[in-house]
Amino acid sequence: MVEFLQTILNGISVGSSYALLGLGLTVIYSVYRLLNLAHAEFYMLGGFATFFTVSYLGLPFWLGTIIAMIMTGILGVILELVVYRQFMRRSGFDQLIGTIGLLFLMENVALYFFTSNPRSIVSPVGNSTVRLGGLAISGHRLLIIVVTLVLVLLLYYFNARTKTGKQMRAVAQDRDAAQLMGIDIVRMGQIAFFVSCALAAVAGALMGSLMQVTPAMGFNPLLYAMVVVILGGLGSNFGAIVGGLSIGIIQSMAVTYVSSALSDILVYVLLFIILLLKPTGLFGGKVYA
Amino acid sequence: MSLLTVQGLSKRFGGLQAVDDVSFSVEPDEIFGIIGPNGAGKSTIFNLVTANLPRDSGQVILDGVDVTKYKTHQIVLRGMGRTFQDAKLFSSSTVVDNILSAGFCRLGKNFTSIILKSYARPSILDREREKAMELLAFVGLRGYEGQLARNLDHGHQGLLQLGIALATQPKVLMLDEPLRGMNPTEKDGVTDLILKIRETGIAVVIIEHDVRSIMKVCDQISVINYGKKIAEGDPREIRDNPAVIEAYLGAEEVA
Amino acid sequence: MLRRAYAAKLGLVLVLFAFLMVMPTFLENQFYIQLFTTSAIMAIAVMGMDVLFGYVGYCSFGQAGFMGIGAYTVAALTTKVGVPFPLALLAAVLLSGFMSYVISFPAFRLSGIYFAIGTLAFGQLVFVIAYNWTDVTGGVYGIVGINNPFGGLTGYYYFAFLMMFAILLLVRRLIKSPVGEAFVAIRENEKLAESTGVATLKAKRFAFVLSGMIMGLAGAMLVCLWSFASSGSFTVSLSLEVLVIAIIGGVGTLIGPAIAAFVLNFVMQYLATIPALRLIIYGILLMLIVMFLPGGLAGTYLRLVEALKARRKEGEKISVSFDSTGSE
Repeated sequence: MVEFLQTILNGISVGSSYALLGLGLTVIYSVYRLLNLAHAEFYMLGGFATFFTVSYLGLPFWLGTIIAMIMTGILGVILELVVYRQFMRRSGFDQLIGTIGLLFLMENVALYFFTSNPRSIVSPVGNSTVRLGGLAISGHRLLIIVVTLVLVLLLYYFNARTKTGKQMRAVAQDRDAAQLMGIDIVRMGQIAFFVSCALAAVAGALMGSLMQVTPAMGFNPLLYAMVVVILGGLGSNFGAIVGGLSIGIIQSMAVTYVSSALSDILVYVLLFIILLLKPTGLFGGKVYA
Repeated sequence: MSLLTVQGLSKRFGGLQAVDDVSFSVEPDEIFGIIGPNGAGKSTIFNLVTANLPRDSGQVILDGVDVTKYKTHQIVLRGMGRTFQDAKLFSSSTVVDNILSAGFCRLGKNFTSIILKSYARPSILDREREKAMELLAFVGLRGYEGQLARNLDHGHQGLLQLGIALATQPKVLMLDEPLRGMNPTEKDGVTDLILKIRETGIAVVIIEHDVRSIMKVCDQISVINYGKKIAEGDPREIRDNPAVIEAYLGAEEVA
Repeated sequence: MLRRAYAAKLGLVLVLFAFLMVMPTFLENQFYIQLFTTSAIMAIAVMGMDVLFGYVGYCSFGQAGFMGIGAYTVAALTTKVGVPFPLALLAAVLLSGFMSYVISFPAFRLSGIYFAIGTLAFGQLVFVIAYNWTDVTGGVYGIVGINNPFGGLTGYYYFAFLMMFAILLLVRRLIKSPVGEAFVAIRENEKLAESTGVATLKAKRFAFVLSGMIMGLAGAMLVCLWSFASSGSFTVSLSLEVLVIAIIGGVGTLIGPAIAAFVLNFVMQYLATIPALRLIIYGILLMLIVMFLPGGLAGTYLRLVEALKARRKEGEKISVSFDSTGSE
């Protein structure tokens, strides 16, 4: 029983980072109607930015992460202007291909400049372990859960209570109608990019300190993030969270009760099944494919 | 025996009964009209007949053959051509290529035989070029062969759609709002064309909003409202039918 | 007039063919022979991708999975069971074809981006299975010691080129036939294609299986050249790379992607002294094409040709109206 709960707890921790990544993808999708495959690279850059600010500038972890978020967000906005806006002139599929190009570019520029040497970020909670009842969880994993929770709440508040958030929701529902209502959809797109890339950066910082920071670190999480948004439904923030946690828990169970290798297979088979049964996911709306 | 018999067609979308037990039959050489207020379910009826949408219930018999279980392309091969409300074309191809592409179905009985035939003589479709040009002239697109389909204006796109449907050598032609978005001159052109088509022995089923034009060409009209057939008869009977007038209350088209 | 153009094209192809066949005798450096050989195999893979993506319009992110299936089949059969090469190769192609047939059933319930993601999942699945099924695939270490059945590199060079031309001719004939028209019709407007009597599902499945078989062939040929097969070679990255080359060459032209395979392979040898540079250049090219040059290089070339032809026609019209006296 304890093992079962422990597995769930681990799953929630892993799932939280998946949820963060999935949220980042979903935010852009709902406003921009684009599945941004280059998202993996903002995740990676967030990790590197945090590494540099913490290790070279000696800043505390939380400050380094925030700086990384802002820098990555700004990069996202710049790329939106220079690159993504040009993509939007093309068909949906071409846009996807364009993001793949950006993915190649960013990952390998990073590889060139940073080399493939893994970097480590020291977690602000060190190697501590926290005991909850009979369960144990590493301090850092708990930190991931807490930070994710905080960000999700902030995002919810932003969406539901602030004027900008409401405008973004309007754009997500119907671009044309939103335009007719006087909402500046270009600006909404920029904000969406900023938020999305910032979320990716945080995820990168958190996971980077859990594992290691390398230029290629984004690729596998991206695949998982895609499973998450498909499961949760493209365009649904809530779906991304539910999807992320579910995938995390499922994976954790598979690792504990079956085997680590099979857990990977399981996730992809799951993706396949979801696509066949309900491609719009649990909470997804219309398909813009 | 009727050319096309549709029996008991029904379709439900969630809470809405879009099509409710609709039946009609079309005789050879007949021009059959389906009219009704917006959202009455007319296009859905087409989609159900052609198996573009799965039916909840209903039977379709085409030229004596029960095609109820057939897939769309099989029904087309049996002799049912159709056009769509949103002009569906092979937009990046030229006008003549659109017609040639539509000729695919005449090449063989099933896909496997077509593959084999294609391999043996890859240029068999090219020989159809002359026929394609004749067809283009018939629908009034002579001189437009080399143009890209997407560059045509709306009226000509409608004609091309007709050409594509005719290229499948149908026995019955299902036209979904062929007059949509056209000016009166273009509309007259299309209705004349429909009469010409009937003369070649093809039956025509038309969904239309422009009731006046429909009254001019149709032999038999079915009126649909809220997914149900509320009247059927020749144009005169329909015009005087109180139920029809009530359904269209507020619309100026029924003069 | 058409005869002359056709004869000219045929002549060009024959000259190219002869040139390529004779080349190894002049190339002393084994390095170049290897380069040409890998390019030829890549060209085969890219053509397989073009059939599905360029002509039918369905983009699969998991084609490397079929390459892997073909590769491991031939590797396992020749090294562990001692099956002679031609048979093993045939088995590889047939197995990839069979697997694509099986996968096509769930896959074609999807379309567009979902199809891409679904095939991506399949590709990843193949990779993960290859990585873990140590008995058959050798796991992380793969299978080594695959014999090159042609003795030296030169023999393989001829083999690769003959296969490439064979595939090119085979596929081209199909593409130029009504089946190819059906493919394009599906790409242009699948619903309309169905309404003109095209058995779209059968056509798509056919294209998918054909593509899968070609990819399987390419994968099998690759590992026999390298003489080892490892799971790391057949990841999603390879799928994307094949896709990228096809796009840069120009999807839907068949020749474009094949030429691009050669050009890019060579260019990368000189430009991309560091592996990272190769993908950087691919990335930039991909983005540029999406932003400014849809249709890739071949597509742009074709458009230029069309534009020049149109310009010439305009010129003729003007000169005709000048010549004609009086009437307009």
